Amino acid sequence: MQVRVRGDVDLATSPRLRSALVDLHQRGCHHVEVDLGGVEFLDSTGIGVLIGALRRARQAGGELHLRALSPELDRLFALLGLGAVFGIAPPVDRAQ
Amino acid sequence: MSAKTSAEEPVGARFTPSFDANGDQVLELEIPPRRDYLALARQLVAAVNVDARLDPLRLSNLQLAVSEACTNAIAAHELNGVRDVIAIRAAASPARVEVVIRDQGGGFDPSQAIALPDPEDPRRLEYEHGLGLGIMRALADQLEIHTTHLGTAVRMVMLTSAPSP
Repeated sequence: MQVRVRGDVDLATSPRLRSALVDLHQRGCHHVEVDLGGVEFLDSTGIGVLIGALRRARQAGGELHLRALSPELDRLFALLGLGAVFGIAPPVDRAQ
Repeated sequence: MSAKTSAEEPVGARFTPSFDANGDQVLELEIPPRRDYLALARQLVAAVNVDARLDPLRLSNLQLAVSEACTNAIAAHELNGVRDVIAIRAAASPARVEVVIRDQGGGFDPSQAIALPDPEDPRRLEYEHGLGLGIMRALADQLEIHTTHLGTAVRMVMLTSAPSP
């Protein structure tokens, strides 16, 4: 199952993302791809929602993959030490 | 036109642009402690960077750090049922953009901040909260947090050119 997220994910909107992911989980969908290509802003609450969804998926024997991260999000996950948690390859440093 | 509003419940945001003694732009914004005002707080940071002194990456990092501080402020107000405004002051000079976020949400105990397990630790997945402070620390060039029983003030600075490592 693929979930496409668009717009700003912050304290105001992340509860909606959480509900959608919890709903999928409760319907037995434990292999989820979350496409973040349309995300313009993602804060700690949005990352927390993704961490929770990853935990629930793995506990059910599934997996959650993040797709289409912008370079900024790539860097943010790496900075927080979460790249490895989500199985994201380290960002390529082009800032020579 | 005389819709009565409760003195306790701020309605809408108040925006005050000015210049300081050096002629640098200062933008002040007061917002109700509501989640739907976070996007406006981020726009304030973009607005004070009108001369594009911060490059796009450093601007988006500062917007995220400011948004995290405002998120904590709103959460503190929600937790304590405080309806007073949250004040955000953004000032741009040639060398730096400085943002101060002041809330009246009753403060917090920094020693109670969550210590997150290492990323390799499977228990890391048990923590969905507690990332905000780490994001602020990682992204801002300078960060100061003053918290009392009345509220918290967070001051963060982003230099216009990256500090040498």
